[in-house]
Amino acid sequence: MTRRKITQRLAMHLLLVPFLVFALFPFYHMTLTSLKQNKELYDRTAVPLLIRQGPTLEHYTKLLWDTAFLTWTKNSLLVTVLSTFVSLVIGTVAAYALARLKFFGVASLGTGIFVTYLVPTSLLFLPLAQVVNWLGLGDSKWALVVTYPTFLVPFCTWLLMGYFRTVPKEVEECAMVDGATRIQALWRIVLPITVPGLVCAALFAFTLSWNEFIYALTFTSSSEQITASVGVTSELVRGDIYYWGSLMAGAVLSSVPIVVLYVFFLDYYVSGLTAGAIK
Amino acid sequence: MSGITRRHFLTTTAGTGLAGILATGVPPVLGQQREVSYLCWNNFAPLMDKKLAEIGQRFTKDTGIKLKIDHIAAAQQAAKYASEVQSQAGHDLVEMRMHFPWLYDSQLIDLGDLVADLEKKYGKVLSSAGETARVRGTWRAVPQYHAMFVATYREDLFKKASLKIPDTWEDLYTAGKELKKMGHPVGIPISQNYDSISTAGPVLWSSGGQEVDKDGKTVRINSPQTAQMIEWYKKMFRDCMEPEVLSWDDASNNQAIQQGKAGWIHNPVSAYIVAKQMKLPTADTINHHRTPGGPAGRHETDVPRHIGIWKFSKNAEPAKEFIRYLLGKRETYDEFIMSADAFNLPVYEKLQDHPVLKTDPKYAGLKAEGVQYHCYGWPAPPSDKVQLITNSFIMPNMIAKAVTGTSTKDAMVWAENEMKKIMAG
Repeated sequence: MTRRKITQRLAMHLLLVPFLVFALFPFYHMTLTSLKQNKELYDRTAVPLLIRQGPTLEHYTKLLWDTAFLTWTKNSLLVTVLSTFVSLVIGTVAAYALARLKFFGVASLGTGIFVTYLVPTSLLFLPLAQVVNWLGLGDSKWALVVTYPTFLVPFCTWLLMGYFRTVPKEVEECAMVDGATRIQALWRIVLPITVPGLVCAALFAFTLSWNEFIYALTFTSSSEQITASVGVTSELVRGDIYYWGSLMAGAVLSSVPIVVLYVFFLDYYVSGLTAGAIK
Repeated sequence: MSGITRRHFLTTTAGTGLAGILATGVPPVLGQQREVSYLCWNNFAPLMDKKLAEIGQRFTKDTGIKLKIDHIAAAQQAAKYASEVQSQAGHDLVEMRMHFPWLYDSQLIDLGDLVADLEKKYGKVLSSAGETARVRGTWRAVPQYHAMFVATYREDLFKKASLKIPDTWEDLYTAGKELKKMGHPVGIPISQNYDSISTAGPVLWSSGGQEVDKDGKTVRINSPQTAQMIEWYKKMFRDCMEPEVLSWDDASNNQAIQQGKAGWIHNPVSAYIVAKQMKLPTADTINHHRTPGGPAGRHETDVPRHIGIWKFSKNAEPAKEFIRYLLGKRETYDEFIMSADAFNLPVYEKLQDHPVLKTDPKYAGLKAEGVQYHCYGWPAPPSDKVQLITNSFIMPNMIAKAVTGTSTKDAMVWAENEMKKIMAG
């Protein structure tokens, strides 16, 4: 490697450092705070970015054993996985139809789905509360499995519509010429090509469900039914008393599933996100 | 009659009945366990939640009524209650803070009989709790306890500098100047949070001012009394505090005194209780005194908390039974109050000198003598508009404008216009 190339690479990496610091700082600060003793957290002479008085696991112990954090996390996982799966299935079929089929009002239907996604959950939770009650799902995590697709399906549909349009029509036409039905062409030809798009939609849907707060707050109440996003804030913020150590421990542990997912599927995610842009 | 034998009749009816129970999943009334659910806030004193659960278990054992208690953070109550009201389903009992009974007036049953029984035993309900739980003459909720804002100060610093415990807001200014020189400024938030309003209210009331008249309609914020209050804030901000108070949240003043930075804050006793629980070095140095007064008397912001029963509840009677069980027996009520370590105190007059105040010498300053407790918006009667004025943080914004350069007059005119807009609907 020439000296010039080494310098160029070094410069490129150096340019990335500020972005890396910006992205990692919240995690660093969260982890650090979760490991500090209370006396250091409340010591104004302490250095905020270092542990000087020795680390402790007491906040993790409190979170894991004095609260129902494990149950909340289990609920979050169940609700997120199911609602993501359901939304992805419905979104894929809808997106394919809107991207490929020609029927009356297809364009306005696509726009309509996108507009639905823009309606904020803070407006929808009241009418949805009636629906949840009518379904007999009050104070049940199943209410979330039913209601999360209301914002996930439009999102997945919109994202996948863009992706399906990047797949050349000729590919599936060839399959259909060879005797495949449209469903078979979708299943055997189009979907394998659109895996990055599907992964991208799944990741986004997973993150949106995992972080969702207002539906989880209003449709569930008991400790056995609530999700981690509601449980942590309800239990560890008591008016003007913030249990900072345990709050941060909850934030660190809750971010683990998302981090793991993104680490494994990052390449798919990037290509899925940018595919529509170059069409 | 030869077709139906006694055995045949019994077999058929028992079989049909059992099939009905299995099909509907609902046992016959005699076999049903009565059950009530209670949506309660996440108490600032966590041990009180544990005690509530313990009392709840005893209640179930003694009465056979199953009690399910769910907790919710104070900030999230409004959204949750709105969804329960909208769907006309949810819990039977609900914890109600301050003016909540006024906001949900039409959704709550009359609990006058329970309050009358409690007043017979414990004396009259404190004015702040009465003003908020009794809506146009009807008790929409039963007052259970209250927490008030008091002065929390660094006793060691006051002793070191031979400072007088402030009796008036002017005394606080005198002490505050010295505290700031010592590196321990006064910590009164001037930002969009409720602690800001909880201090601004008493300062305004003790100057004789008010936001809205007691007629509930006329905006009174633009007055010489408000000007006096703003001038006090200006000099406090300049000489006794640090600019960071403009960005504080509800927890910041607690943390400022717990960390050993602030020399004086205005807050419920939570700052001290948490410092004690976390074994912080500052716990030993903190003490309390009553909120300072002014020319128009000594007024304190109070946060009474009540229990209500939704009208849509199908279990109103067992729900009432639980309220009686929790608050109606002196020993149970005492046990409940003691668990909060003086954070929540009884709201009935005869119980004001409660034993919990003797559990720690630092609670001596909490004894309610000659105190006028008020909730936000006083003297205007609670209403959605007065509540909206509070929730729009007009008063702290007015003060923030004034201490950062806007003239007192302009800040008052701004606040007056904002309040008038809300009152006009």
